[in-house]
Amino acid sequence: MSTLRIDEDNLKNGVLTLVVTLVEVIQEALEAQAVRRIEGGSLTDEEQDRLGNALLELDEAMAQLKRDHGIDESVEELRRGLDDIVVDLVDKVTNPGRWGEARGELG
Amino acid sequence: MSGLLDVLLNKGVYLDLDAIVTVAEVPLIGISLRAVLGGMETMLEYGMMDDWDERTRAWARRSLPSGLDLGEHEEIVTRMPGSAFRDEPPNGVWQPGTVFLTTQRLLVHRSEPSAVLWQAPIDVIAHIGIVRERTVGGEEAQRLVVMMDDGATSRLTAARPDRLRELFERTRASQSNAPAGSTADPSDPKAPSVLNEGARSEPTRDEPAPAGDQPDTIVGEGELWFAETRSAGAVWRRGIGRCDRSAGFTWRGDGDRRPAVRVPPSDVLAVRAGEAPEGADAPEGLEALALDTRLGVVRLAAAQPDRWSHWLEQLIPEEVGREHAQDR
Repeated sequence: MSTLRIDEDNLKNGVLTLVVTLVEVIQEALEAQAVRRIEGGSLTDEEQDRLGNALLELDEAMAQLKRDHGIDESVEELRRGLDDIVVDLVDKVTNPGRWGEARGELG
Repeated sequence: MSGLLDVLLNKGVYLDLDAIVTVAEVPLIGISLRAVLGGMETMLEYGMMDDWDERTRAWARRSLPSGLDLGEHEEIVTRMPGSAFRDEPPNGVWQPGTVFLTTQRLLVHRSEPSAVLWQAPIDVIAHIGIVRERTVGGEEAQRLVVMMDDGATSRLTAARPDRLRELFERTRASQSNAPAGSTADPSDPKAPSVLNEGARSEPTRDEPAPAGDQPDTIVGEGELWFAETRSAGAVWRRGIGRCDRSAGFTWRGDGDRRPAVRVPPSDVLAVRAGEAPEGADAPEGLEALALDTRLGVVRLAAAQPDRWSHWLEQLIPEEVGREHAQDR
């Protein structure tokens, strides 16, 4: 698992990275659901248009925020870290057999 | 992470929880929780919240304006994500939105909440330059510098700056053949006053101004780029240059408190068309100038180099001009 190195220079960036990463995760979830809704066929053309434009604006604003503060790299890093954690968690939850092992590791 | 979230939303999560919190076998707090979380499409598949979904969309259909108020005969030429710079303390903010180029205006519009962040009629825009700037985080970014006829400048960003500039040039060329009176109405109450929002008006004058708020020794001032020497090489910075008969030439970078360049008139030797410093070409759309001084060469770049040459030459003391001519 990767760690995020934080010194006084990038302390602000550390917090910002965390926030931006979480917003990005939510944004991706929203985009995926938007695609499903559009494919579901219940939306009018005008609604599809509005939805697409709003998500585009959001995407561009996020990209610019990352560019302006130079946190593209650290956001990527944190995303990978989060993915590792999620993989671990899912693995633990879906394989109760491993719980004993984990306990063994602890003590 | 987003994979997990997708699975949860696509499948939908149903949580049914009953619990009581007891202290010393005496129940004190009861919890009865039923929670459903899922993508709206999933919800609709299960027949949940469909009336609410319908109501929300019906409300939007009734009450949301189409976004942009277009004038008569005004059509959208292009639109792309972008942002407008708003100059407010301490160091200004970039407000994201959508950049629209219409047949009459260039504007940045934000849809939620709806507002025009910046706009200018096409026929008062003198020039759009594309510059590479260092952002707060030290990254390189392409930005648009919009220069008005009266010398005021504003900064924008756009997803495809080259394309926007090209379309702007084309639109303006086709508009100049159009009948007069097709411009946006400046007295439109919905239009924010463009030139005092996000742009400091920097008057440019070819002749000394009458005595007023400015001393009449000022020959001219306006937007000017300066190649600042740093350890990693030269970096072009945007700022305001000023030629003053008594104080000489000064240049103050955007956001700087004091001028970074000061050349008293006695130190000015000559002005010539300059070549850009090693490894740092002048920003696109600008031409380089070199100012020879007694302390070395000051490298500058401007959209209208001839005007700056003319102003700077007025600073050269007469005896210097003669001795310099003999040197050659």
